[in-house]
Formats: sequence, C-alpha cells, structure tokens
Amino acid sequence: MPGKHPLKGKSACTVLTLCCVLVMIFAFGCKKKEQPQGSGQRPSTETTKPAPAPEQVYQVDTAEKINLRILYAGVPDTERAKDFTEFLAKHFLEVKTADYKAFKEDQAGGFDVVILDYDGVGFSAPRPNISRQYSRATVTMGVPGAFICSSLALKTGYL
Amino acid sequence: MGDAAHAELLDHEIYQKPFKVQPDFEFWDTPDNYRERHLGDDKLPDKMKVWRVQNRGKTSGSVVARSYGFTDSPDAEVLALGFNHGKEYGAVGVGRHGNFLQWGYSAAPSKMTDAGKKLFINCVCYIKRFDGKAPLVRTTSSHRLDALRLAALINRIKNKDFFSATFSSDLMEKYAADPNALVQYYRSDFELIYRDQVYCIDSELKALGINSNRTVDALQRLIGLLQDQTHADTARGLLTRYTNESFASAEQWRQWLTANRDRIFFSDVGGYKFFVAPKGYLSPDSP
Repeated sequence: MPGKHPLKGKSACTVLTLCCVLVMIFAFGCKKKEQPQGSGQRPSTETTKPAPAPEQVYQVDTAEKINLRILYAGVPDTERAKDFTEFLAKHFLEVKTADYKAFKEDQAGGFDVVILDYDGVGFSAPRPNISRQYSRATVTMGVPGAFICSSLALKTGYL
Repeated sequence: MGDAAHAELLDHEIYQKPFKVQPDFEFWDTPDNYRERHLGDDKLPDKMKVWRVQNRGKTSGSVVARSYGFTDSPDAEVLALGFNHGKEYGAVGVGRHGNFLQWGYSAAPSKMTDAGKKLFINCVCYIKRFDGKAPLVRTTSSHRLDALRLAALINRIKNKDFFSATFSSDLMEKYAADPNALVQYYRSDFELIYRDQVYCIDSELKALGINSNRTVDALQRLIGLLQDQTHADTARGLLTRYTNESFASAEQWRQWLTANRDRIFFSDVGGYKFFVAPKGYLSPDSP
C-alpha cells in the first residue's frame, strides 16, 4: 500500500539503515495512484496522522486522500461492510464505521458524509429513525436506501 | 434495475471530478416496459446506449425512483438514469434530493466496474456540498404525468378501487371503454392539471384565460386580478389553491411576489403549490 512505511526497529548499522530508508522512500513513498482531478483533494503531504482504533478507523497515509471524514453505517462484521470500508479508506482521509441498525442522527456529527448501507437489496431491511430535520450530507444505498428515502417523503424514494 | 445506467447525463460535473468517469459503452435492447410506459409521441429506439455500473449479472435487485416530477423543485437532480425492467425510461438510478443522494445500485465496491467505483467516489464528494441543505419540498402528491400514465390503464386494471384516488367516478364512467380518450382529455389541458383528491383540470384558471397553473406569470396574473372586482374572489381562491400564503391585501401579494419572484418555483410532487426557495439556495455559490 503506498505510504505504508515498511521499516521498523533499528539495525546494528546506522548507515545501512539510512540507506535502506532512502531506498524504501523512493520505492514506495513516491509511488502514485491514479490522480483524481479537480478540487476537493487534500494537498499531498509527507505527514502521517496518528492511527485511531484499528477496528473502527481506516486511516492510513494522508497523501493523495480526499479530505473528507466518512461515516459508513453498515452491518458490522460482514463481507460487504469490509468491502466498503476498505474501498473508502483507499480514497478518503478518514473512514469510521457504525451499526446501520442502531444509527442515530447525532452520530453524524463530526463527519462530512454519512453512508447508510444495509445489504443493497433487502426489502425488509430495517430503517434507521431519521427525522426531517436531519441535514447531514448522506448517501443512501440500494433498495434499503430507497425505503429510507420513501419514509422521509423524498423523491429518491422507492415509488 | 440491473447493473447498468444509460449514457445520458455524462456531462454533469459528477462524472468529471474528482475522478473522470470513462465508461465502456454497450448497446442493449430497449426493454418492453419502456415502450409500454412511454408517454411521448416519438418512438423509442430498438437499442439504447448504456454502461455497466456494477457486475452482479442480474436484471433486478437494484432500484430506480420514478422520473415523473423528480426535477420539479430545485432541490433535486437526476445524476444517472437507471436501465431498468420495471419502470419508465428516465427513471432515476442515482439521484439527489436535498442532502440525500440515493445510489440505487446494490453491489459492494468489489463488484462495481472501474467507472462505477469512480462515480461512487464522486457522488460521496458531491453530496458533501449539500450538507445542511435539507429538501425544500417533500413528496405529498404525484406528478401530472401520472394522470396520463394511469389513464392509459383504466381498462387494464380491473380493481376500480385502484383508481378511486386518481380519477373522478364521472370520468371513469365516461371513458371506461376508451382509455386513449381519457389520456387525451388530460393531455389537452396538461398545463392545468392539479389534484383535489383526484386529478382535475382547473376550469377556473381556464375560464380566466390562464393557460398554465405552474408558471410565475400565472401567479402574477392572479395577483393582478385581485383588483378586478369581477374576478377577485376567484383569484383569491386560486391563490389559496396554489400557494401556502394567505395575505389579506393585493398589495401584500404584490410585495411577496416582487420580493421572491426569482426564487419561486412550482412543484406538483410537493402538492401542486408555488414555493419560495430560501435566499442563497439557488445561487451558484450555494452550496
């Protein structure tokens, strides 16, 4: 993964270690992914944010990441949730997770965008209790998302 | 809806940034449901240009929203037309209403195409701009195009109760054997359709020589008629029908119109009313 620093510990030979560091920086640190266009990009930086709790925060090298904080509210411990969070973490500066079924509006605080995702297809998926005053930027997903929209009388609803 | 989107709308900025979405196009047979639900006089092509958003290999499982009235308020926009086998051509596969962006496709990222992944990321970035922009209207009614769509079905759906909130019993009886004539009835006065429990034609507006109930000019005409003793009561009743305002004097109505003219819009879906967008909502810099 670009930016993931491969060196750990100390070598007995400081000079050799420094050489290795330089080699790895050139080999990995400068490798670029496909570059997004336009604004909204976090400027490239050499600094690395401290890593929060690993099971909930997918935050790696900040270089080339979009400067948005994402809350992915999905079904915990599923392949789908893992799929989404790993994908999102490749692109966004910060991705945290929450339980779709227990989602509350106040959890959206501190995030730029909330993604509400159950399983994409379930007609009987539970619907988070969201009020009409809720105004956080939110992506609703698939059939369950359309039902959420219907319950809020949105044009993006199911019928 | 299945895996694909139509090729329209690709000039929207959501296909441009931060990632340039460059789909691989295919031509697929036009679904029969498109023809059955097509309300235009033109003929749909035999094949349609589409691109795969995901690769689930199913023709269902994802979802589109109806297109009728989707864009009749400035808080909503269509971002991708979903290729579907259940609704009309133009139904919304990806759309935004206020601060909500509905991604109608069902696959997780590992089953999205490269173009689908890029569009998804772009959608997440795009909706951020509408943070705090709750919808201006809610769906409280159905669009006037539904009158045409449903009129064509009156002899195909046998349960007459189905139409009890759609057409008056008089119209149902009159056109029972001729749905096309009922379609034509509404089509002829399309600009004057509104809902009062059922789809109606606004004969009062028509009698005043006003040929649409959804233009700001019509609103201006009605306000002007408040000073015409012959038509003032009718005009006042129509202003009540089509707005949520209740000003006492003609002058107050004029002031309201003058102050808000550039931000007034009419929404069928929102209840066949004129609404005023808040200041700043429609400016290019907002969001």
